[in-house]
Amino acid sequence: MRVESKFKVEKRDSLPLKTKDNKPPFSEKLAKANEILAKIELPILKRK
Amino acid sequence: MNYPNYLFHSNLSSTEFFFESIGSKGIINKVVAFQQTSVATIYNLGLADYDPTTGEIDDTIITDNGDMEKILATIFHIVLYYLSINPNHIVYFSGNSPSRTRLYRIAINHSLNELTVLVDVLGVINSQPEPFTANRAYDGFLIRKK
Repeated sequence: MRVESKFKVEKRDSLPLKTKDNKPPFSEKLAKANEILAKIELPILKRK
Repeated sequence: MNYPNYLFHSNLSSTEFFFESIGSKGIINKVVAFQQTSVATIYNLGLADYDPTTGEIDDTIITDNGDMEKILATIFHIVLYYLSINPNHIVYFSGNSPSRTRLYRIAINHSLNELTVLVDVLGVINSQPEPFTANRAYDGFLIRKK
């Protein structure tokens, strides 16, 4: 994968994200992530 | 990863990234969003179809536009860019289903040598992160800048 660590990405104004049922965007995915991450052991995530 | 990727742009705060999936079902707008989780440094990656005229997203739909490899390559590029501007963040992502998470695992495995030049890739299983290993049924993945 030829990826520069820093490359330019165009920024544009955009509408706020919303869902059909007016729930916060990605709320279920975020809740699931939080459930898994709540029990995570943080020391392993610390940089060496 | 040797697959080509789609061009993408971001919102003004560089927390949402937009691209067009072009495939058998036409042009489908996609958004990748990073949201802070309950762990301060970890940000969840969400992927959804997106209507640019309303801002409405749908992260439950399975589009099947025939360009999954190109979409995954684009997501990896977005993650690498996001980490380049937020080097202290850690990105968490998983699929909406075990089969989709398995697909992500296969895609990571295909690109692992190239990814690990720039980032650490961890698999999360039973809420415990470990260095990514092929063929482990992970619940999700963590990616952080080296």
